[in-house]
Amino acid sequence: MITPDQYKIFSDSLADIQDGGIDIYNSLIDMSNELINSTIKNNSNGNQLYETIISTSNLINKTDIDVPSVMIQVVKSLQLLIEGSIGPINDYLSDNGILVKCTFANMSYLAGFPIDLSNVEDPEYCILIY
Amino acid sequence: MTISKENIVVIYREGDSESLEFAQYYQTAHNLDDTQLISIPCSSTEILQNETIFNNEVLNPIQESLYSSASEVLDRNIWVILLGYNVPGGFRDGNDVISSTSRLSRLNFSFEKKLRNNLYNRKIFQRFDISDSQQALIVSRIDAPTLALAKIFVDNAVTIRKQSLVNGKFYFDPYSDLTGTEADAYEELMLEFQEETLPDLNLTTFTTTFIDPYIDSVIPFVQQDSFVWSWFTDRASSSFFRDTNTLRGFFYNADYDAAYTIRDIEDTRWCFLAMQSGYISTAGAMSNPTIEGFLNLRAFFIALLNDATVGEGLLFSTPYLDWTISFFGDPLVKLNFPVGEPPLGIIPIEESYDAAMVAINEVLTEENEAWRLMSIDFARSMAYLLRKEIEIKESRQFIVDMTDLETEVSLLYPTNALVLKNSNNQRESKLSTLMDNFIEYPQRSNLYSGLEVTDPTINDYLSEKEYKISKLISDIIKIEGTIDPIYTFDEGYWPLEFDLIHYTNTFVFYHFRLEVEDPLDPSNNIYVNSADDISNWYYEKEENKFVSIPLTGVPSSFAGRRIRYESPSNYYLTRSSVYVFKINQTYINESTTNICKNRFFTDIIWS
Repeated sequence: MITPDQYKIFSDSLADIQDGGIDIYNSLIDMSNELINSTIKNNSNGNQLYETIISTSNLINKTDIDVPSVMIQVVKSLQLLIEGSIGPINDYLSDNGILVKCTFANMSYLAGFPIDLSNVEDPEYCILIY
Repeated sequence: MTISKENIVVIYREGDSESLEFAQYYQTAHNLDDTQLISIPCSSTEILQNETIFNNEVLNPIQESLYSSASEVLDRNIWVILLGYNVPGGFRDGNDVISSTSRLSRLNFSFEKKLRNNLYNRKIFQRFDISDSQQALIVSRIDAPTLALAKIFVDNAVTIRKQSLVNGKFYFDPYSDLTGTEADAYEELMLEFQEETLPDLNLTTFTTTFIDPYIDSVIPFVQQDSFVWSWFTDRASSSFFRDTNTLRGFFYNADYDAAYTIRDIEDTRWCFLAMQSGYISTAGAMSNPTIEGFLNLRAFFIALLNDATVGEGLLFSTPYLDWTISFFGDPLVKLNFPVGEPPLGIIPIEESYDAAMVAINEVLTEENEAWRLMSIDFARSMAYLLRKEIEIKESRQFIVDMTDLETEVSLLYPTNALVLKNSNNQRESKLSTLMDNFIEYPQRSNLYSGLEVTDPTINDYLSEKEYKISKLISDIIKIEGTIDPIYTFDEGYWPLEFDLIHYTNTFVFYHFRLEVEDPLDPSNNIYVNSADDISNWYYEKEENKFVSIPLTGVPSSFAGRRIRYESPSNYYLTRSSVYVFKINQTYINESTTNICKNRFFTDIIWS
């Protein structure tokens, strides 16, 4: 069975992977800002480039910031594994002193397993979507 | 708030009716209050014997008049001092003659001979303001052999103020017969000005040509002129200045004693001759300022192009204070140039601060530099995508490495689906449209002009601009050879760019300490210090142009400009890993190395 330490490592890595999407998106927004603060914005080729940056940013927003179904499926499999073998997820977390990352808690909610704020790392900085 | 007549006081000599008459003449010309005329109990000697006498007769009385509780101008922001007729022009200090205008610029500080001017040649231009006034004042002098002539100097300035457009010829002499490092540096400064700033003035120019390193090319005479900037022919005659119907704005000949006296009607030094010939402002040395003490013409004209007064321009262009350079003329005058294409990078000045800030925000990055910066942002987005892909694969490996079969069976299938959704192909398909547009942009933009070749390839563009891009970008392009590998950075290469900040109120030279923290193993941290080795350190000497930093460090006048460190191959880092970069600026003051506060930057390796 997955150990509490392994659970923590794996759930944290899923949260980090999901959080990384914002860096991809922000780099593209920096790129668009660079363009609109330059003389490139003054020509038609520049406008076309700008529109492409924005549409790519929107695509990244969809695929890498919104939680994709494949990611939800991984989280769901993990939580089902715990609930099926050990018991309710919140009990498992509190019994083993595991604090999950905020992003993971939100993904867990989307997977159908809400996590109590008391089981979340740095709760004062966490905004749960539920 | 910018300088106006409200900020000036005129100094005249107590008990001297002609000196008072001059001050009142200037008062009328500028509609000043009576409180803006200040008398001091000084002698009429042009050059006083020593600093003590100067302090007793000139400096202390002015200080008392401006800042004592009984001062009538205490409520005004006095930023400008005009020394009037018969007021001393300087004092002796050993073999040097310290000019009154230079010494009084530092009215509120003790005498520190040849002190670097902290407001000198700031690379990011700003008008003189209240914080500048706490470091140096604008001080100028109008004096002459006779009262009548001194009044004519004021009249000339009034004429310019009414008309303001100076559109006569610019006589420019960048060559001298001096040799040595300093002379070469000043000549280089002149030639850079000729190439980069002079065209922005929209004036016709007369320029001397280089003949021989030992022959001083000279301007034979000036006619229909508005500006003269030359160096080293140190005597002349009034016949040098031929008739003109143009307004004469500013004259400067960089030599060792052009400003020694302005009261001798028969003198053949430049400052007097220039003023007598109708120039409304000039500057010169009262004794040898050394070549490094000559005025910086770029700083002066950039100030004028930004609507600064002549007084501001002179202060910003003088490298040293408490020194020998003296300013002459009306410091409040502004000189306007003929309208042409607005110079690139020059900030249009508006009357109000808010409007000026809006104008500043509208300064646009030049097209090619913007494309280069965008290529870095684009590479960063790819590096983050690659990082995500790597992390997902590591998570799958974590599952594979587990010994528990139930866990593996439950988690491997969905994790593998996550891997497939974030594969190399998926990554490339997300960005391929943007990639095509991005690479095509400089080719389209330079289709018919802009580069040496027409219809350029991306390689032509990168070659001519001397740019490189990340391999992460070039690898996405499926057509082999589209981007020649010589135009891509080595994998692991990283540059760090940051703005120079000026932390003190004195002119200093900055060096830089950089520490790169390895998040996994601190023993792998990288430490470099430009004070020990300037290799791979660059500063933005001109806008978007980086050159190696000098051994002495980067002058504080470059505050706002960028500093860049480029990693040598032995410091290459892991692609798509994130590192923390710590920068400390350091400067030496009185033999002590001062370390400025830490600045942290986090970046992903995007090469």
